[in-house]
Amino acid sequence: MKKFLPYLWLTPFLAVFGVFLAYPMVYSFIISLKKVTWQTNLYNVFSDMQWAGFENYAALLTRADFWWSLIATFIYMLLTIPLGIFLSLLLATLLSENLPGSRFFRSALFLPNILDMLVIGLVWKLIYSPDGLLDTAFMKVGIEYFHAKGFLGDAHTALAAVAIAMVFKGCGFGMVLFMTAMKNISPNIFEAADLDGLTWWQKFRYIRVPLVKPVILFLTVTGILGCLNAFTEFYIMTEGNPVTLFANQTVGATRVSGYLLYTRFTEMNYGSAAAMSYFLLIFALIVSYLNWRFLREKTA
Amino acid sequence: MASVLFDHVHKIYPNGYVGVEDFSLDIGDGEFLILVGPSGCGKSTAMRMVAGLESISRGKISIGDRVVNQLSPRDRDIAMVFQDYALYPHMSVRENLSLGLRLRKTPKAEIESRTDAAAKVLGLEPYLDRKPRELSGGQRQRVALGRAIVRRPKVFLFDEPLSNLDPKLRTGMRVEIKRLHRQLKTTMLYVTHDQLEAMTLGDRIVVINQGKIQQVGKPIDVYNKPANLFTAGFIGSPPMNFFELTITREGDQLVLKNAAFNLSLAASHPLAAPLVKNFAGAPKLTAGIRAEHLKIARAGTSKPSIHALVEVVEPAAPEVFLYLKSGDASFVMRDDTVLEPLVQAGETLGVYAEPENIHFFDGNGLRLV
Repeated sequence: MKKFLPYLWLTPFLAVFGVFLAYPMVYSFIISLKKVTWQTNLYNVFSDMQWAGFENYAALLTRADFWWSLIATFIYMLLTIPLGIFLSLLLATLLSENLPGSRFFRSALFLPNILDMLVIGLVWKLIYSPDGLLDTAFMKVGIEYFHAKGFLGDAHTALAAVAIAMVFKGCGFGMVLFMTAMKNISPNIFEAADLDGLTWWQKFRYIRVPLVKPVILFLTVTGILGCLNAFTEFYIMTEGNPVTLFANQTVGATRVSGYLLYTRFTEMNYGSAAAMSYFLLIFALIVSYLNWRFLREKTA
Repeated sequence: MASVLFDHVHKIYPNGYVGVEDFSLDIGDGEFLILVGPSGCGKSTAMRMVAGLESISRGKISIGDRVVNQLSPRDRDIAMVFQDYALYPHMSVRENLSLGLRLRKTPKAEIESRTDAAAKVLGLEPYLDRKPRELSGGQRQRVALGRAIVRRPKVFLFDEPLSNLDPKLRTGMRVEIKRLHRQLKTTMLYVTHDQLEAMTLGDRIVVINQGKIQQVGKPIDVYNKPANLFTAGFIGSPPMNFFELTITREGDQLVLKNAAFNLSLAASHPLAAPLVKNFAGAPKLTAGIRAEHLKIARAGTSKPSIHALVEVVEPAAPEVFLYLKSGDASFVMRDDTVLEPLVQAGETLGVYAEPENIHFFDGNGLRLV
C-alpha cells in the first residue's frame, strides 16, 4: 500500500506523459523504420507502411537538403544565441542602473514574449518586405540592393533576417532572467569593485558576467534546443525559401531542420521525417547531457 | 597614510531628506575613529561620502591635503570593509585579495608578496584557493580585511564589519582589528551601532544622531561626561537611567524630586550653584544615573533617595542586574559586589547614588555642570 499510493498520485502526470510523450516517441521510432510506397493504401497510411529497416536513416545521410538543414540550423544558432544573450545582458545591465524610463522599457521589451510567434513573424515579414519599413529606410539613404526581393527574398540575408527578428523577440525574456540574477548580487560587491578600482567595463567583464553565468548557460541550452525545433518563424516568414545551391543541389536557404522535418512530413515521407526527428532528438539529448554535466559540476 | 577632514559637510537627498547635517570633523593621521549612532542616523552615509559612494551635497571632504569631492572612489586611495563582506563570490580567496592589484597592472611579484603578507597576517594561508562560500563568516570577514590591506590605502573604512558575526567571533575580530591598526598605523574610520565596539576600539568616538554630531571625544570621556541626553542614553550598557525632577529650595537645602526620587543637596554643595543658576525660571531637569552608580542602601549607610520594588533579578555573573520600579519610573541597577543575588523579585529596596555620580541635563537635554 505504501509503495502503491505515491504512484496513484502520479497517475494524472503519467497518463498525460504516456499519451502525449512516451507513446508518440515509441510510435515515431517505429514509423522511422518504415516507409510509404506506391502500394501503400493512402486512406490508411500509417498502418500500411512497408518495413524499411534503417533505410530512412541511411537515405537522409546522403541527402543534400538534410545536411544543408543542419548547417542552416547551426548558422541560425550562431546568429541568434550569442547575439540574443549579449543583447539581453546589455539591456538588463542598462535597465538595472535605474535610468529614467527603465520601467517602461522593461515592460516594452518583454511585450513580444506574450505575443504569438505568428503575429511577430507577420509583423517582421512586413518590415522586411520590399517597400517595407526597413527597405524604405534603406532606400532613403541610397541602398537599393534590397528593393527587388526584400530581405527575406534574398538567399544571403533571409536566414539572418529571421534570426535578427527572433533575437528581438527573445531578448526581453533573457533580459528578465538576467535582471533577476543581478538582483541577487549584493550592490556592495559593485561598490567594493569601485573601490578596488575597476572600470565600468572591468566590472561588467570580471564581476557581472561571471555572476550571471548560470543564466548564460540556461539561455544557451534552451536556445540550442529552440533552434533545433525552430519552425513557426520560418513557416510564417519564409516557408524555407528562397532557394540556393548547396553541393550542386537546390536547397531552401532557410529550410532549417525543423522546417525540413515539416516538409518531409507534408510530402508524405513519414518514415524519413520520423528518422530525421530521431537525429534531432540525439542532438538535443547530447546538448541536454552536456548541460546537466556542466551544472552538476557547478553545484558540486 | 593621511588625515581626513570633514568641512561643513551636508548630505541632502533629492526628496529633501537630510542624511548628514553640517558635519565638521578632523580625523588625525593614523587615528582610529569610530562613528557610532542608532541605525539611520547618517553615520554610514558620512563614511560613504568619504569613500565616494555617495555624492556630497554641500561642504568639503579632504583626504590628506586633497579635496576629494569630485574624485571617483578608485582615485581616493581608500579601502572599505562591508558588513556583508562583499567578496567576489566566483573568485578564490587569492583572486579576491589580488583583483584590484591585478587590474591596476601591479607587477606580479609585488602582487604575490602583498597577497601572501596579508594572508599571513590574517591567518588565511590555508584558504587561499577556496571560494568564499567554503569559508565561515569570520574567515570571510578576514578575507574582506585582507582585500583592504593588500591595497595599502591611505585610509581604511569599516562599515559595521562585525555585525554579521556571532558574538564570540565578534570579540575575536574586534581584537584582531585593533591589533591590525597597531601594526599598520593607518587612519581608520569605523562605523558601528554597537556601543561596545565603539568604546573598545576607537581612539576617539563620534556620537551621531539624526544626521548631526552629538559629541566627539575619547570613549571614556564620552562615557563619563555625556554632552547631552542622547549621548548619555546611547553610550553605556545597560542605558543610563533618567529621572525627570523638579527643583525646589527648602531653607538652605536644594531639593530635587519626583514621585520616586528625592535628593537633597546642601546649598553649599559644589553641584548646587550651577543647578540653581539654570533653573531660576524653569525648575525642571533630568537626572541621569548609570546602573553601576546606584547602590543598595544597607542599614547604616546614607539616606536612600529612591524606594523601589524589585521586579526582575538578572544574575549575569559576575554581576547582578536589578530591574526596579518606583511609581511610573522603571530603572536598572548593577550590583557587582555580590555573586549571588541578595535580593529577590518582589522585595522593596532603598537605593541611592552619590550626587557626584549623577548627571544633570537641562530642558533642552544639554549637560549641566
